[in-house]
Order: sequence, then structure tokens, then C-alpha cells
Amino acid sequence: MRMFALERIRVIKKYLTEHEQAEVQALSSLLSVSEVTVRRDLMKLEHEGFLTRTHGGAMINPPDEQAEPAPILPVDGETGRKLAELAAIGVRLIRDGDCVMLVDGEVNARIAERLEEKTDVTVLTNDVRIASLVSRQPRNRVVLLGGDMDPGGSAAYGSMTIENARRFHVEQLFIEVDGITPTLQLTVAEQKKADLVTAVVELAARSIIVCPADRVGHSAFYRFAGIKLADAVITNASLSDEYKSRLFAEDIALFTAIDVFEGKV
Amino acid sequence: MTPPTAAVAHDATVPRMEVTNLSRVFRGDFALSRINLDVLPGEVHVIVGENGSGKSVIMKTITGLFPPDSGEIRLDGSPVRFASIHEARSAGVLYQHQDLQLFDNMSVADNVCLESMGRTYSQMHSLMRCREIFDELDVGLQPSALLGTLGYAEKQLVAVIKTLATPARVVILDEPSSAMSESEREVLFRIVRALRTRGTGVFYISHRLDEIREIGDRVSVIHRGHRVATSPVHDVSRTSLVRLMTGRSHHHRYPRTEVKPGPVVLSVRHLRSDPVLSDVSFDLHKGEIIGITGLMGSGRTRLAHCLIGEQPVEAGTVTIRGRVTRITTPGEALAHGLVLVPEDRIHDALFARFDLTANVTISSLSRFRTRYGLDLPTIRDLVRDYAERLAINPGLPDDIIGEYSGGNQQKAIVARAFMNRGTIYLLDEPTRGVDVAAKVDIYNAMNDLVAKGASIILFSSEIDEILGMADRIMVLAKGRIAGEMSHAEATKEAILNLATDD
Repeated sequence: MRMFALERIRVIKKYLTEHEQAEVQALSSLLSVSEVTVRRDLMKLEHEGFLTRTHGGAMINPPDEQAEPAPILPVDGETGRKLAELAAIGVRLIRDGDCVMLVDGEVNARIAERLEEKTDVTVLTNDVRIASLVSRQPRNRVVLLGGDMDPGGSAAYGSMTIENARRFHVEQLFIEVDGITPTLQLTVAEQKKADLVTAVVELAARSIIVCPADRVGHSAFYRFAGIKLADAVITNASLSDEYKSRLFAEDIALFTAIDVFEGKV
Repeated sequence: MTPPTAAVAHDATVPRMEVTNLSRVFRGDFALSRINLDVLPGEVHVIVGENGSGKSVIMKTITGLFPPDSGEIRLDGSPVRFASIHEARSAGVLYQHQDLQLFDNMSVADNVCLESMGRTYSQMHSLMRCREIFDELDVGLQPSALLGTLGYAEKQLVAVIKTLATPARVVILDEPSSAMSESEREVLFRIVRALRTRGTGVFYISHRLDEIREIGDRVSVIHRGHRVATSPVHDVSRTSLVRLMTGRSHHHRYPRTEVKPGPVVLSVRHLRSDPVLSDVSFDLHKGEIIGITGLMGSGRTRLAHCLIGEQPVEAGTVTIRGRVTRITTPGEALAHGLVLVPEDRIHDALFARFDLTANVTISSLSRFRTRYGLDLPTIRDLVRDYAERLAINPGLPDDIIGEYSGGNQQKAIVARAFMNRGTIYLLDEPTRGVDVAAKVDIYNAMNDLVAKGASIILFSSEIDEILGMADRIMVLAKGRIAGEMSHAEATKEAILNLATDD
């Protein structure tokens, strides 16, 4: 697959981190783009302070001159990329100063991580990992809902968690589901999550369902509501045309993770 | 006033035309459901409704352009079913489209009379006949003038006058006055009254609520393929009409994201383009979506064309990123980062017989220049990549684009615009005539644009779409911005009121 500028830059960074220096020619054949393109990318990275251009190539700058810490949650691989895509859309929906609830889940954890860019966001969650990620962000605030920890040790459920949650009102609730059935029912894999979600939807002004496109059309056993519960759905752009039109017809805002504009303005 | 043509015999109690339970399902999510409408001899029945509510579609179904799935049409009491516009016309049912069917290279008189005269035509006869009608109705046009020399509003008049030259039972006028000024409308009303005197039944589709009382006897409101009300014009108020037209709002289904607006990237001041735009001023910020709406003929498309240098500007300034810029050709617009997705995909954007690759890359070829020509492998890979990201189906580089569905064609045009890597996108009716899934894709692609720092002006006649996607909404009327509102404060009623206010 042809790479967009952003991806090329990621590859160049990786290459430079490993090799410390690079030739324009080598990068050009590695990325199969023209040397002009590589030079342009290098120029961009020089602006960022990542490298210093040399005659015919570039050298990486010492680490203390660069920023951008590596993400904690993996973004590599097909699955990682798809989850990260969904998280990127989720983050776009959260405004500075919002109070949101992130129910436990992989995408929601990635949303939590990326809240770094925001200010004054209050996050309510039952997921220990999410709580820990947000607590490191100096500009945001997190409330971890206590309760019975599940055996995996990552999230709390049960009546105590629900009881705790009831004290709050949130603007947006992000529910990561494990499947949306062909009849547009929302399902999760565990009863305890179904119970929690059913209870907390009442607390939110807007409920947003997060579901990877390959889980739409599948059931995950515990149904907790029909699609009408959702104000919005976040999914991948690869969702079939049929579901896209059905969700639109149900009056639900469908956010798909389309990444088509190359780079940034 | 004596009618210019002898009236068609009629019985005043039998409707000229009676449509019962007319239904038809169209592709996408639109259907006409059980439409009942009738028009009496000598009656003007005004049909109102939002853009896309189905007004024109009803008329096209009646006159045989689309066969109905079910329902009955009676003409002077006897059932009819037209297989074509031509058949309808022979039976005395004339449908005057929004797209005027006139010949620029013929005289006004020939345009008016040719059809009704057939074999008895002679140039002299035609001129005389036309002059007779013009004198009768005090039309200030020259019968011998070449039609091509007339303005759009005058052509609209000619198209309506054409219906007077034929002894019609039913005349359907589809937004006949959209581009007309007050004086032209006076003439139009005289023509319609003449039709009425002759006992012709007139369906009059209009957007201008102020016209209804002046010319109509009854008014029907169409909403989403349903007839929601019919009543005598004097029994309805303007506000209740607007409420009936808008119905329940559906703007929650639009996937709108909020991007913190940055500095002003485009600033338009006192833009004038005769005769449509008189004084347009607005600012567009980085990361913002502005929605510009207005009735047919309000100048939405004209404004887009002026901004990219496709149409001349008489006065005013355009400032792009702080620099006063004079754009006189679309090429210059691209160089300044202004990219247009035109309203008329078929005529203004698509190269129907070329492949997907050519259609997507045609305006960004300079990106792929190498020492020896174009970097074709890169081009093909990138096209494939864009097709995948925008879910263009099937999306192979060699596909001939004319064979694609409207939605996929439009996505290819959107891909072309994106590949340009512009900074200011002018999207003119970007989702017209595309299927729902493609609509959803296009909206999300718009979000991608603004998230990455580009700005959008969305020109649309679909008010729900404007309400759903735009951060700020501007209403064009009478060549100027009649009003502006934020996403939060905008309502359908407010927009319609501004758009139709006279």
C-alpha cells in the first residue's frame, strides 16, 4: 500500500532511530517515492527538530532535542491501527471542559490516552487502565468508579460501581460494544458489562456506541438495548453500505474513521 | 381580457386532473407515497415543499417521465397513464421543467410557437402569433430577438408563455419565477391568469411563499414524498405553511464534529456579480464548515463560481490568508488552495469515458512529475489507496467512471479534490443524487478535512444537511447574505423564513 506523508514520516523516524543517519537515496528506494519527496519529508522533520539534514541525507538529533513520547498502547498491526482510528474519532467528539464517561474497552483506553491533547476534561470510568492513563495528564481529571474488580483485574463492575456512577451526570458516554446484531441490537460479551451499561445510559446526555466495523452484523450474546439508545456510532469506514444507510435511516449520526486527506494543512 | 387561444371545453365540476394514491419507490431512501392531488378547470393549485421533498418528482411521475408503481390519474374524468412527456403533451398536459427546454439559436417567437404550429409553421405566422400574445399580455420582449441574447429570467418567461400558445388542459409550472424580479413576475402572473381564464388547470410549484396568495386558489404542502396538507390559500398563514413544510427535523443523524476554529483564512467583502449577487461579505476560519443555503436562483452556485474565478466579479475583495487576492481562473484558484467540487457532477466534473485514475488525478498531475514524464506506478497505487479509504466501489484504477453509480462517481470527484491538498474547499451540493451510504462517507471525509486544518464552505439546498454539518449557517437571498446563525441557534424555520422573506 502506498503511504501517505504521515506514514512515510513515521517510517523515516523509525529508520533514523535505528540507524541514526540515512541517505536520501536509500530512503527513496525504501519508501518507493521520488528523492524530491524524501527531501521534503526530511525538511519537515528538520523543522520539528527531529533531525539535521546533511549533504545527501540526514542525521538524527540527540534524544533530548525531540519530543513525542512513544504511545503506551500498541498502535502497530492491523487491529491496533483500526482501534487507534476509532479512538481518533472519539477524541474529536470530546471538547475541552467536557465531562465524559468511558466504559472499559480497548478503544476507550486509546481515547483516554489521547485526551492528552485536551484541557479540563473530566473522565468517569470503571476501567483501571483508563483511570491510570488520564491521571497522568496534568490538565485533565479522572474519577475511578469503585466496585467489584473483575478477575482480569482491569475494571470494576457490579452494584457498587453503578451506585457510584449514579452520583454523576456526564455530557457524553462512550460505550464500547462487542457486537451489533443484524437487527441492530447492541450486545456485549459479559452480563456484568450489560448491567453496568444499562444503568449508566440514564446519566448521559448523549450516548455514543463504539464498535469496530467487523463486529457489526455479529452478536456478542448479552443484548442490553436496541440501536435507538445510541445518539451516535463510531466505526471504521469499511462498514458495508447497507449498515451505513440503515443507521442513517435510524437517525443516528454515524462517524466513520475516514483518513483520506494527506498530512495536515 | 380575451383569451389568446380558444378555451378547451370543460365542465367546472369535474377536475381537470385528479391524481389518486399515486405511489412510487425510488432508489435510495426516497418514495412518493399515496399522493392525492387535483386541480379544477381555471384553478391555480400551488404546490410547496422543501428542496427534495418530491414536488418535481410528483409532476414527473404524472407526466410519464417515471412510471408510477400504483395509483390513478384522471384527465377530465377519464383515466390516463402517460408513457412519456410527449404523450402527456399530446393529451394537453404541459410540464414546464426547471431546466428550460428552449433553443438559444432560434428567435423568441419560434420558441413560443414552433411546437404548437407543427406543419403549419411559417416564420411570418410565428412572429405574428407571438406578437399577438405579447401585446395581449403586455410582455416587453422582442419576438424577433434571438433567445440566446435573453437573460435567464426572461427565458423563464418565454418558457411559460409557450404554454399559452397551445390549447392545454393542464399546465404544470415548476418554479417558474425562481430568477425573476418584480416586473418579470408581474408578467408571469398575467400569463397565469390568462391560463386560468381559459379554463386550464394549473399546478404551480413555488418556493416563494409570498406568491401563494397572489396567484393561488389552493395550496398543498409536500413533505418527504407525502402530501401533508391541502387548503384554500386564504385559510393558511405563512407561519403554519413553514411549519408544515419543515416537519420534524432530521439533522441529528449528521456526523458533525467540532473543531476549534483558527484564524480567518478567507475573507470576502462586498462581492458583487451582476445580476445575481449584489453584496456578499463573510469570513471563513481555519477548521470551520460554513453552510450557505438559499432558494433556487439565490446565487449559491454563482458565489462558488465567483470565488474560483469561473465567473466575473464586478466589485468587492477576496482576502486569502491575509492577502488580497484576485482570482480570475480556476487554475489560479487551485494554486491558492481553493478547490471546488461542482454542483453538476456530470457536466462540470466528470470525464465519464475516462478511467478512475484519470478522473481522480487530473487536477493534481504536477504532484507526480518526474524527469521523464509522469510517475505512473505511484499514481496507480495512490488512486487505489484513495479508492480504498473512501470506499469507492469497485475502485480499480482502470474502471471507466461513467459506469459507476452516482455515489461512487461523486466519491471519485471528492477524491480528486482531496488529492489536490487544498486548504479551502467549496463543496457545491456534494451529496446531491448520491446514495445514503456515500453521503455518510462524504460527511465523514469532510470531518477529516477540517480535523486536519482545512476549511469548508458547504453550499447546499438541503436544509437538514446544512443544519447537521455546518458550524455557521448563512442564508443567501436577493443577492446578499440575508442572515447568519450559529449551529446552536439555527432552526429550519429561521432558515426558511430568511430565505423566503421578501
